[in-house]
Amino acid sequence: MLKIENLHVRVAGKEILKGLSLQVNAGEVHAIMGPNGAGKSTLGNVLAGREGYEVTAGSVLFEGRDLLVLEPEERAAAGVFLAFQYPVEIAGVNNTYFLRAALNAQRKARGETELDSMQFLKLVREKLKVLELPDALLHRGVNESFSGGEKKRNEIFQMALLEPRLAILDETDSGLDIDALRQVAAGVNAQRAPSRAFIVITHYQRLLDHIRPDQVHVLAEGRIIASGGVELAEKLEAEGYAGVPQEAQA
Amino acid sequence: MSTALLAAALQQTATPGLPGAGIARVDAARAAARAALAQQSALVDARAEPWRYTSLRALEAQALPLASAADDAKVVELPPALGPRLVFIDGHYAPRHSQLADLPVGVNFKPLSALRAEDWQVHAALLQFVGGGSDALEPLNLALASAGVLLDVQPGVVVDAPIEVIYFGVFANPCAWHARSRVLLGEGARVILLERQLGPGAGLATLHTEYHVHADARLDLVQMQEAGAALSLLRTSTLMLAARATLRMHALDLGAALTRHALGVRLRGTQARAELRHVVALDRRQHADLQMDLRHEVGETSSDVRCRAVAAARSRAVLQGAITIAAGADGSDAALSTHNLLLSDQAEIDARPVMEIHADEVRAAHGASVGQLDATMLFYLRARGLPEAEARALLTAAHCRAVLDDIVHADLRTAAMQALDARIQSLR
Ligand SMILES: Nc1ncnc2c1ncn2[C@@H]1O[C@H](COP(=O)(O)OP(=O)(O)OP(=O)(O)O)[C@@H](O)[C@H]1O
Ligand SMILES: [Mg+2]
Repeated sequence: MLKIENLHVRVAGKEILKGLSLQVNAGEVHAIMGPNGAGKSTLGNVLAGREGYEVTAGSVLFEGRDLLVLEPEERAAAGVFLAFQYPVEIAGVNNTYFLRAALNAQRKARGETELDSMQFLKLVREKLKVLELPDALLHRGVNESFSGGEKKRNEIFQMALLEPRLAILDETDSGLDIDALRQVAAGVNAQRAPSRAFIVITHYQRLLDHIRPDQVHVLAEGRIIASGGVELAEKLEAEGYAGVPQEAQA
Repeated sequence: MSTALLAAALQQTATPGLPGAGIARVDAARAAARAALAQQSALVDARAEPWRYTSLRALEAQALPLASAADDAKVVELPPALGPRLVFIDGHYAPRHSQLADLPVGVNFKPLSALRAEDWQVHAALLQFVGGGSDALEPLNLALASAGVLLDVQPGVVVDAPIEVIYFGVFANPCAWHARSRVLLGEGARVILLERQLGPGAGLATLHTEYHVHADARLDLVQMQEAGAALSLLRTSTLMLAARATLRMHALDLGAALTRHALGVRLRGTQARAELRHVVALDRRQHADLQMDLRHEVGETSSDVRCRAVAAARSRAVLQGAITIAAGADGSDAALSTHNLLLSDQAEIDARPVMEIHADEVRAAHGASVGQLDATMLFYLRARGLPEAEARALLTAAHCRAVLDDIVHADLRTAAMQALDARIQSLR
């Protein structure tokens, strides 16, 4: 589904990703861990198509297509979803309006019929239940005055609504209380499917107790320096990044 | 030597059938206005500071005919009425489109053309120069006004439905029309007033309105300017607030080729409060100039002014906003903010909020910013699938919506937001 080869990315004139390679197949969940500033969010942003990230070498294929030539909205319509590490507050843009516009824009781009407001609301109710988000949040501006945890849950709610093919969750577990963590994990697990893949960026092994990954990678200094199973995450939790054996590299 | 526009206007003063013609005091006032007009060589003094940002040269060169009475049977598409409404088409009262059936008791609401001799006597201020008549604008308006309303609300009368005044332009050939109005709210009265310019009509329109909000009264005023793309609109609004009177005003400048609005607010009684919200959204070569002059004349008065301008293409928005707290107006509270968006590098926004404080113990805050759309917000919306143009429009509208939220009447708020959204969607 996703094939990243030797990716080099510069941000503000500084090389952040330095030859990153990663392959994610349909149906898989990959966890990416790594120290602060290693380039994890950079990877997510590059995949989602954020401006200001200059790819100087390497390639990214998504379902056989060159992902890097697409606009952010084209990537979204193709099925790429990024749950932001810091979801943005947009006062004055109604949450419900935004979600429906986004969903319908994606459907339109894929040549599917758009949902009318009745169909959309029915879908929203269904998905809200899983995340146990209060209805009231729908009537506010996008993320406006949401608590930190509500913002994170809202990202997963959006994911559930948009049903992407590849979801990249950037520290969606950070700042969540135990219940919220469980809800977020339930939201993700409900979406797991043979046709869908996840890249879960996290600092905590705790999340991986709820969302069992197929592979765990360590991203450091702009590269994947180690890959393994859940036991790698457990080892990191116990020993920190200093002890990562280079030979474990995939 | 006078300009073509002025020379034509002077000839038009001979036009028969203007409102109140034949009533001695009206005829006398018009004759005086005509004489004042004849003294002037141009519509405005282009070198005077208030006209620094807006040139009327192109306009002054046109000998615009006075708009002839429209065919009232003509079908014009008007938005559904929210309450009593007076409609003017090309500067002439259009009774068939107006709606006065459910006028509440204690509300005198009529077009200038329906005023009787007693009305002209009681509201003689309609026949006086508000601004002292130092340029040709006021005499021109007084001498030639065919449109406009009297809205006189008795003390204590509360009207829930918005009262509407609509100026619709249909004339494709550029022409001129003028409107003069007076709005009076007696003590404790409450009114929601919508003034709206619509239709493709081209040329020149001048609008002069004086508003008196007496003690404890409240006026919610919404001005929605969605005039045709080839209209120049020169407007004066003067609002007087007595003790404990409240004004909440929302002005949207969305249409027209050129608008210039001299907005004067006088806080004359203690605890009077004025809340002004101004939204401008421009594209092409549109030009909108707001000259605001808000004065705290006595103490314990408050004002809160918020402006949002959006300029695309080669448009230009000007906000010259002055709040003056007069000597002795101690304990007053004034806030003035303007946050503006430039959508093109050829557009221009001149926002100059000024505060002049001559009193003690006042609270005054002002802030101004001009910027572009937030790149992170834009990316967030696009990452969820919204096409760039749509994402930009949403953010642009959101920027302006922030000051429309507090329109009290829900249907009116919706109408304002819809007009804004439609305008933003069409910005090029
Ligand atoms: N727009 C930018 N301008 C300058 N430097 C940037 C920019 N974006 C990222 N960086 C730098 O790139 C490096 C990687 O940042 P990134 O956000 O990808 O790290 P991360 O692995 O997600 O860290 P964390 O675990 O703290 O979220 C950091 O040193 C950061 O300061
Ligand atoms: Mg990060």
